[in-house]
Amino acid sequence: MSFATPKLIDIVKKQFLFKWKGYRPFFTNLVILQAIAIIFSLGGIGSSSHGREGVNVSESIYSADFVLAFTMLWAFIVAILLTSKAYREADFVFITNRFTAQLANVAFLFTISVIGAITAILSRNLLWMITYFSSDNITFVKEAALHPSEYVMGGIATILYVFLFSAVGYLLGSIVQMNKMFAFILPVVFIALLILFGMQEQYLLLWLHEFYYQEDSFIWWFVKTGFTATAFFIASFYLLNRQEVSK
Amino acid sequence: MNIVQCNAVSKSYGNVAALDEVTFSIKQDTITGIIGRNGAGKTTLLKLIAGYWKHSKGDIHVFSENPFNSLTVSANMIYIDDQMTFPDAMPLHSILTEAARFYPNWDAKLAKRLFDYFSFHPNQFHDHLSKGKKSTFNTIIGLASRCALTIFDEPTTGMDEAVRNDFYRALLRDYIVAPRTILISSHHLNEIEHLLEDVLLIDRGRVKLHLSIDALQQYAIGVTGNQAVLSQWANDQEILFSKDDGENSLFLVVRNNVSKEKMDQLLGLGIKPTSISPAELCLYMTQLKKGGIDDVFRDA
Repeated sequence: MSFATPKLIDIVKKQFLFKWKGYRPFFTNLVILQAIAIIFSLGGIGSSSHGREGVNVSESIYSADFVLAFTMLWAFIVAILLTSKAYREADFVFITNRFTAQLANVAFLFTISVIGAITAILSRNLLWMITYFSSDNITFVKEAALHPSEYVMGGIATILYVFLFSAVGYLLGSIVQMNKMFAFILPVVFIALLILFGMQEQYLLLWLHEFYYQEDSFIWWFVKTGFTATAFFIASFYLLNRQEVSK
Repeated sequence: MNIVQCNAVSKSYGNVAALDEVTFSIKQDTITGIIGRNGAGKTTLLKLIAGYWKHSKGDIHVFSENPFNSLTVSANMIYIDDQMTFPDAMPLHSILTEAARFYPNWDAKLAKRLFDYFSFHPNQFHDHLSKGKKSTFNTIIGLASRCALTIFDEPTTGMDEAVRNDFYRALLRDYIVAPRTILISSHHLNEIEHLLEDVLLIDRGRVKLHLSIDALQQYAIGVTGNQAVLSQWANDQEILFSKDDGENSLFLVVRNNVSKEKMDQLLGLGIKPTSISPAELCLYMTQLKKGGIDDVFRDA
């Protein structure tokens, strides 16, 4: 019998497809979450109305931010699940080592980030349609005027934000896998930080906000965010690469 | 060529050693039974070989590589037990399709035939199968993948007797068509004895015996007789197991290297040695206490 000498990239591809086929239910969850977010968004985020000489004009501002927030949360949870015992064991049913399994996980998370981001962006149009058809009055829909390049940048930015959240989830999941005690410690620390930030000047939050969100240069922002996500994944690789499977 | 080579391999959890300096090697294209009591270390050993777990001390080589994190070992090895988890949303037929994509030697025809023979439904989910059916399905993957090293860890858990016999037969027939190195762990040596070429007996984390099944059949004899007389006779023999029934009668299992003179002496006492089957021998050699469970109920 001859021994197969596998190529790393082939195995990663196979693992990726295996996940792609096996983890379809994640996308059902995404559809449900985005639908809920759209319902939340129907109230609009701001409105004003004014009338004169028998004509009433009411103006509402709608945003798909809710949908995007839910999508990020979804990517975060999917990433945590991928690091859990059951999912790692499923990797090891067929050919893999820890490294290929993780590369396939990152590829999978990136793919779902693209899908999540695009559907979140497109949900704006759904939101407009719903408001348009659900109103008895004459409705004009006016989109914020954007240059086509801004659409592309907006798309890339959305994808990267979702991916960054998945990276955070993956790292937290990996830390919990290292020692289950962190499953209790991390949420407690998180809530404690929230309370602390509520009481004090929010230096860290402000700094994060400034460092990522308020970066004017798209390229710089891209580098910063991309670098952060990569760093999180490398840290996770390091943690998970020593984990034993199927205890 | 040795497919598996272990030199003084230990695996411990804290202070408890699951495996204690285990040394042995497995030749290419043999079927070896890994035999031992519950908790003897069979699964630990197999998971180290599969590269799922990391050994604590010693050297372990599978296909001349350390199996932990080795892609080559993973590509040429499959590990089958009743704990295999597949993605929830994957019906049985897609699991087989996926397995075919991964394993270069996958025998789709064999998989399909076994699948139909054991009357699985393509759209069933692995999670919904009964214990025995799960095990049966997993063994189909194990056989059809035709990996150079195929590990079955208690593959027949939950299977009924008919399915167990079918599986053993399928394993043997497929082995003849496609020889490979097979490790199969079990409590029931008598059921799988006819499949095996070698037996690796493990007891409390150590290798007790590693012999061919033929050698095992000749390894020991049993003698029963008067306690005083027999213990006198056996004081220079290698005693593997002894049991007294409390009524002056003694049963001994001794190494089958008794000299002619000693044997005549025994026959002169009117004691006829009995043969000890490999399954019995393994049981006797892994008894926890000399008196067995009866000791627990015996008043001090």
